[in-house]
Amino acid sequence: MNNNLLLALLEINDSYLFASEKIYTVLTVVLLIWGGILLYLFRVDKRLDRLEKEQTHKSKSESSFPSI
Amino acid sequence: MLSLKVFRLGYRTGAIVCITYALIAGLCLTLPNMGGNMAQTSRNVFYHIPMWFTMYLLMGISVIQSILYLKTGNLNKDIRASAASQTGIYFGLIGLSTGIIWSRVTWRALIPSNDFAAWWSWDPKLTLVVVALSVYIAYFLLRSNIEEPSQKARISAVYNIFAAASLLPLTLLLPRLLGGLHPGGEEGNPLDNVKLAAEFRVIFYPAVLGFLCLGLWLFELNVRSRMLSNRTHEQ
Repeated sequence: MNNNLLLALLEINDSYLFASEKIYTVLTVVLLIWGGILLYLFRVDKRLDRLEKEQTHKSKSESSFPSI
Repeated sequence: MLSLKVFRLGYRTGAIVCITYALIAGLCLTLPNMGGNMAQTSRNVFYHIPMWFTMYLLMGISVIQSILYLKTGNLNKDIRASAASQTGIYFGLIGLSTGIIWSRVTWRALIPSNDFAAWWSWDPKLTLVVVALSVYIAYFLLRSNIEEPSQKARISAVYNIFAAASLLPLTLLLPRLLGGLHPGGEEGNPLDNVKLAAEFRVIFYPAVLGFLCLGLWLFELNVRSRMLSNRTHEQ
């Protein structure tokens, strides 16, 4: 069997997690962490949107119906 | 405020796209050897250095907001100024700690781990960065010790201008004059001898852009939550 064919076979048998000194395993870990941070940021973002909306509603209703 | 919305969408997209690209490309692409005992750690260029760029951006925003406060007397500018320098300090601390890890395995590789010198080289840049960060930490100590809001805003705005004026001389100018291990210093650094290769630049520039965008995003969230709590206290 020539070398190229052997290498090709190895690549097929190797899952990507084991390929190229297992760097893709590190990549997967890093991307999961990054995804988690982004998810967190978006959730904080949404919460701030909601609170800002509530606060403007509150201040509007207060200005139209001033409390005594 | 359509333009603000577009701007916010812009740096969110920039952060997500550019940092994701920098993580994938920075870890997986084959890079030329930078020499010395850098080995694969030269990839840290994509993650360690953008921390400092982001810190400079946020400190720049902070001092601009402080100047605007002194011009207008609008307390929202003061909130923005302190939010920006707080976010900036976080990026500075991350830059410092990632630098310590990097220097451990490159410049200080031969020193045993139980020796403090293995982790801290007293390189001018490291030492002066600690001084610069202390100046900004003192900014928050100053703020926390003044009760009256407009007095707090005015005094800390003036202090912030001095802090910002000392930041670039301390962290960029003096380390170059004093020499040391960082690029630009006399003793030099493998990264200094080779002009940052094209393979590095196609990852490095997007990485910087991505982290600058992330810095703006975190700054925005910081400002919005401070504004909310400020208004809640007023009511």
